[in-house]
Amino acid sequence: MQQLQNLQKQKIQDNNLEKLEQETFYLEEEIKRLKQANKITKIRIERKNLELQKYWLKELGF
Amino acid sequence: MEEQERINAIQKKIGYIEKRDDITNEIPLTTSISNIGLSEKVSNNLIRCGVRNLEELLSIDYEKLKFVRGLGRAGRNEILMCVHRLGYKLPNENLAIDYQSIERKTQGKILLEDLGLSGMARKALNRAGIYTMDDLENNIDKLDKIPNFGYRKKAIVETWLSDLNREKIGEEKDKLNQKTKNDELQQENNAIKQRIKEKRNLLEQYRMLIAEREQLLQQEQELDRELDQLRGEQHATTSKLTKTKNPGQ
Repeated sequence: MQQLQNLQKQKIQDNNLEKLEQETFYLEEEIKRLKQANKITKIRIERKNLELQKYWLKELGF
Repeated sequence: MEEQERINAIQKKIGYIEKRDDITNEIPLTTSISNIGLSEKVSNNLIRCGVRNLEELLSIDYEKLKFVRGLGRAGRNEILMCVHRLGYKLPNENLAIDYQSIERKTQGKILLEDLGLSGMARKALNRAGIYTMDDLENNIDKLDKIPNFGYRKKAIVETWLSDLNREKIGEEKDKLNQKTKNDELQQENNAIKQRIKEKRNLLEQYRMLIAEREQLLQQEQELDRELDQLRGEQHATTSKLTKTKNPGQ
């Protein structure tokens, strides 16, 4: 009886480990994707800032 | 329960009585041996050795009672019984064989009496200082040298001990297996804990990145609005200029 219980506990633990590993893998992938996306938006924001600066410089006659 | 019954049976056999704390020095120490409550035979043997009153009896070491002529195990047990009844103790009375066997029983040890050996074999072993199963196991090599302990008895003892060892080895194997299982489970638990920590760190990182993304998107929206405004103004001014240049159109 005790052996059965121990085996069941072990199974549950194995399942938990697998789930955890899957979730950590998913999170890592998401983090990579977000970092990439943020990088791209930062570049876009810089470009738009430069455009704005050009316009104002034009207005001011430089 | 069975062990308790055995202990009670042994106690009845030797006439062991619990020491009474309520009786204290009721009888004076100068009372003569014949008036204490001992049998005539025992009291005569003691008197012959020069023990005349209770005080002298109480000063005798229990071990020395073995050398009193005519006083065997039953006689010694009777003296112990009597002395305990009166509320006294003999020095070194814990060295009595029966006293010790009862103590060993209460400790849970298997005595030679329980193994079914004949009285002669048991006494031979007792003389060699072997009283319990554990003593037998530890002194298996010395059984050859014990007088009055022949090859047949030795063979019987060896078969018992070999069976016991087989059981013990099995028990030890089970214990080892349990230990290894416990170690494995502990390792797995540690691995799970580590994974949980990693997951928490990753979740924090994820939340920070999402907050950063939201800020960046907001900034981008504001910039887009400004640029749209400016582009709209620019478009309006260029269209005015073209109209003034070409009024007909």
